[in-house]
Amino acid sequence: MFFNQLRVTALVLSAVSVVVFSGCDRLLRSSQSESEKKNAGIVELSPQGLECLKEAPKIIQSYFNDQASEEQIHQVSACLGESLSTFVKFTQGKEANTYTDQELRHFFNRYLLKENQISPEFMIELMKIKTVIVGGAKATMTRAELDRIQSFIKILSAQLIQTRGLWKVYLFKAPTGTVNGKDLAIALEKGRGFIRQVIGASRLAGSLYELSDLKSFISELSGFLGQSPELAEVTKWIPLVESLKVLFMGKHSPLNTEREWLDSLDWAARAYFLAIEYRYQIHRKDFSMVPSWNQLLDFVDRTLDVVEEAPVFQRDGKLQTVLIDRALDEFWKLDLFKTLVLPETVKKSYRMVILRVLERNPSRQAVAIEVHGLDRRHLSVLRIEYNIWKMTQTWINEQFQDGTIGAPVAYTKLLSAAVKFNHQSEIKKMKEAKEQSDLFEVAWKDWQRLLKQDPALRWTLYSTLEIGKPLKSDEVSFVGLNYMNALRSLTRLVQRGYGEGQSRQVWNLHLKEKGLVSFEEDFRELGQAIGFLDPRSHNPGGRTFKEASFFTFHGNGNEYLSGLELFEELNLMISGGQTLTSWLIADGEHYKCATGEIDKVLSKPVFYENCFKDMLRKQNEFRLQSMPMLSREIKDFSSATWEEFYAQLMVVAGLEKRRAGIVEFAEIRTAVMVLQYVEVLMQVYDTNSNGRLSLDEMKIAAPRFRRFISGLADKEIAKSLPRLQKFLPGLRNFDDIVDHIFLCMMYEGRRPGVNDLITFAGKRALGLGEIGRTDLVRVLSVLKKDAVK
Amino acid sequence: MPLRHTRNGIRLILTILSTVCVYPSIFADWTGTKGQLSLRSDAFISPDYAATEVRQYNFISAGMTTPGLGPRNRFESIEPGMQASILGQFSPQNPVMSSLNVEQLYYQEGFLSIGRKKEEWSLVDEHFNLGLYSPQYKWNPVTPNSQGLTGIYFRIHPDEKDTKWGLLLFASLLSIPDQGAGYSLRNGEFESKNPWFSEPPSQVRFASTGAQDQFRYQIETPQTNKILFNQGYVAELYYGEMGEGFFFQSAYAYKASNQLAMAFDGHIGTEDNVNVQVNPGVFFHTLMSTDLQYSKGPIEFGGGAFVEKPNAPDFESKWNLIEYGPSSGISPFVALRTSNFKLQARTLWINEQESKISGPKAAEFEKAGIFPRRYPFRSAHSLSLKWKSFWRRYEGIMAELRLLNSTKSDEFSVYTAGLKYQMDERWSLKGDALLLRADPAIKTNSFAAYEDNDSLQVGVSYVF
Repeated sequence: MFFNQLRVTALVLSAVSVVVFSGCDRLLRSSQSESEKKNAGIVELSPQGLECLKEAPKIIQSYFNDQASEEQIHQVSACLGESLSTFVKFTQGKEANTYTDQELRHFFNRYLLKENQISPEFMIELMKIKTVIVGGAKATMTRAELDRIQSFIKILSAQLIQTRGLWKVYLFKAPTGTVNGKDLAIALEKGRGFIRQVIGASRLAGSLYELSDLKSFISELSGFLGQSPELAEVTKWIPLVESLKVLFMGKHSPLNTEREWLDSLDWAARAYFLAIEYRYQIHRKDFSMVPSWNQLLDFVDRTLDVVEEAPVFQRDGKLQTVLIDRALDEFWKLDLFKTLVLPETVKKSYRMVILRVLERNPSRQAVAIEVHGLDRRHLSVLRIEYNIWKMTQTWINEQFQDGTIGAPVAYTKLLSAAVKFNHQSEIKKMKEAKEQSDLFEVAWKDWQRLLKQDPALRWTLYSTLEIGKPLKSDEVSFVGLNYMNALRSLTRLVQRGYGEGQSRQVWNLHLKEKGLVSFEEDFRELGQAIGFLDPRSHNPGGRTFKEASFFTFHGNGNEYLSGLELFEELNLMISGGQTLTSWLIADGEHYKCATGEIDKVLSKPVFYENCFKDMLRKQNEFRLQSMPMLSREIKDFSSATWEEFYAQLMVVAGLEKRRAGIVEFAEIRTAVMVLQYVEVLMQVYDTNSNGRLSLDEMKIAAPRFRRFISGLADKEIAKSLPRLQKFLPGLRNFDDIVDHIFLCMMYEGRRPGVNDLITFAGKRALGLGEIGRTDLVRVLSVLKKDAVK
Repeated sequence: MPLRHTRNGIRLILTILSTVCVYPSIFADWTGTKGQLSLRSDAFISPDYAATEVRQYNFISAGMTTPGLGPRNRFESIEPGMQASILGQFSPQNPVMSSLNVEQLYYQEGFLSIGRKKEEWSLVDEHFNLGLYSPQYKWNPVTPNSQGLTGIYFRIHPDEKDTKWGLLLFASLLSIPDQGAGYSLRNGEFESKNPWFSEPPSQVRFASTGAQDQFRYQIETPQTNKILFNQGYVAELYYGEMGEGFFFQSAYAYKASNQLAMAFDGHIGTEDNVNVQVNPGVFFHTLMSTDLQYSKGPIEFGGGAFVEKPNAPDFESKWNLIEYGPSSGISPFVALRTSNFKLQARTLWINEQESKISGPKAAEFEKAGIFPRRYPFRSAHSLSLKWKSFWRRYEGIMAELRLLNSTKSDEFSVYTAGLKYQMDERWSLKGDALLLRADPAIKTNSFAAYEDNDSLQVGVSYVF
């Protein structure tokens, strides 16, 4: 019985065991691999709000590229807020409610930052930023301060939404043409709101934070981010901003009160917005439009205000030249002006402007290095000259207010408008109105006189002076008047710096040859750098003096230049030396006259002479239409006459060392100026407008050259007066002999000796014919060497 | 004002306990009580076992069981006196694995029982050891045992011979939660000494940077009165006797849950560690359950169901915690039974509504997976076989086999087998086996932590 039961029991147990434990191995083995087991006791923690931090930098970057949506800004704001909440929620320093900077650094580095780590130095900079935003100590952050940072983020976010889509403008990254005036006005208004709100919400005002701190911050940020093109784009501006800050606000701004802080910040914001306005509204603007000029006037007004109200100017009364130099260096480093002119040249030149023009120090012993600052006095002078220019420009703008760009205004209408113009109203608007009103009155009358001159300067629509008689039209272009106004101001500045005399009025000062030579010496470096002066030419100051004295409409050949003579010379230079010359250069290239070589001195193309000569004749009617009589004569030239005319022209215009078969820019420019001078003489002295000068007409011209010719006449000639009087009883004194020499030169085309004069006296007694333009050019070629002495 | 909230209330409870429980126990008549001494060896047999360095543990057990305990007809009158079922085990190798299971300890006087007493309030709860009504002794959480609720019991039924129905009432001012495996915490880290203690995560890896920190746990010492002194009421109406025709019982309870609520808080510290504070607390729940079964001859079938509605635990707002949603369960069964044999197949489906995680860092703690689950599993099949064969009065074999398997494939499977050879009136040999497989990838899987704890137990007992 027992054994039966035992068998049954054993059977049952065996069966059950087989069933139950048949899959023992599957049960006994772990379903986890070793690595899974290793990780089993490790949980992954993703604190809420931190994941979004990965995306935040991309969105922030796209925001500053004006590509982020409003929703994305909300997203980042919420992310930052939530991250801070998470941070506060999950971390705890040794003190319950306070983190030390090192604890914060530990938390950031260990739990938030994967690739970039915050260095102790960067942490110090971050804590400084923290004090700017919420105040408090630099070494600790309380939980309450973290809460305030969250509030600040909300305000910042609201303002970022307001300014969404405008940051390319703020960061100077928008293409110029894409920002119109309305857009800019909105951007600036919102920008002001941004600064007002964000600064209001922060503790910046009254903090000890300085630009040097910001610089350190960016430097450390750069170390933190590594190679970041976006940051490099920002950091490259730092030295310039710093130099401007030091220049206008001082190295360490001693700002004691919150009011002073806010004033300084307000000033910085105004300056910044002016820079933006310049970038989008003034820079590369088309100034053939009247509104552009109105905008420019308004802009310059405000710029001068900003400079005058700069904290440093308010405090010290001057801007230090050493700091201006530093700012210029930074501008050049960034290549903002795209110029080959060296900064040293600019530094020397602006110092000379201060020294000569603004301080009116004529001493040749006074040198640029002596200038230590641009002070209130200097700025007042600039303001006065600017206001004189502005008053006239306002009048010009009014004349073209209703017209189109290409529509000139009748000259008679202009004269009438000048009389009617309420210039007193403009004077009252000026800051110096009370003290300087008489000065502005006189300046306005000077302008009126300039307009009334006979002959008056007539600028064509093509930015060239019309020279000849009769004038084709009785109209003046907007661009021409702008040139005149600008050159009038330049004339005033030169007169102010280098003119002599007792007159209170700058325009009436006398600019002697030595004055113009000094001017040329002072600004030679700049003139050569901008290609205005050719370093190969001798005594350009003296030569210009003579040209202004002899070949301007109102040149009189005396020992000084009046304001009018210099003004006319400058106008001729712009018309011929700039506009006409550039056209001919372009034509030369168009007609494939260029050799492919670039003139190393002026960096301009060099042409094959024959090609250029042919092109000049072909283009004569088109390019020289502002000198219609000359153009007509050239058209009628036979080939031989043209060859001779051109040859004589090149004798005058050619460089000292000419290369055969080649004509250079400097020669073309001089040739154009010679053509203009010839036409000026013809306009003034060809009284019967037959295109030739008779003896009587030349006699009228002779006094203008008398002083020059007398300088050339040798003692032998002076002694020959009795002999000459035998042939020409009318020669009573030395002046008469000089005039006779002049006439001889004009007719004979060479410098005369005593025998030549006697022979010529015989011819003169028998009767002389007329001379034409070719003869005039020939005379100039004869006098060329003497002109440069 | 509730008694538990007053000092007077506490004093009253202590007075009642000392008067009704402790005092009688000292002077109780212990005639017929059996003492038990055992030697047992537990061996963890999985080749992948790595919870502790030692694979085999020896235990010395001692316990006592009074004769009045055991399966009884609910309508029988019980002799007055002290009843107890207590078993303690001691591990000389690893004291942390030692435990004391006071399964029952009560004083019976007529219809009144006072103390810790086991009742089968819900057969579903008892079969699957869910711990809804009865606290669980979870020294081994894979095979827990029920313990009795502690309080005052009133059993009422008509004093007639063929009485079919009865009413059982329970009230208590004391709640003793589940008894888990022992653990030791040193310097904020759980020391891995007890393979049956499921350690919370020891390290945390931050997704943001990959930084890996040590968790430093700090268990807040709860106020004793908040954990222990909680009112509880259970009422049960029953009809018939289990295994004898038609049987029905239905219970309702409002009491503190046997499972403690765990609230957490934590901060990242400055020394590459995350300090986690654990705050145990109590939550109340309302329970309703019904069991219905019918037996005829060897066949038995029926089913049970329950509904639970937990209340939100009461913690300060800084704590992060889980608020369990209402849940319900249904469990049909069928059984074949003879005098020596019982085979039962049973299934359980629990429908648990979404739990609510609350607190300032709730989401993160939830991701970390440290909130305890309400139920050890959601659904399972259970197959149990009990068989005994005695060829002498005191010599025979008792075998038990149980399979608990998830209704979802591969979630978990627990196989337990026990074999006891009763040699004579006093000596017996016993062997048990536990085989377990669980997929740790499934979060609702409570058994995953013990997957490698497959074990064999062999022991000898002496009853005196």
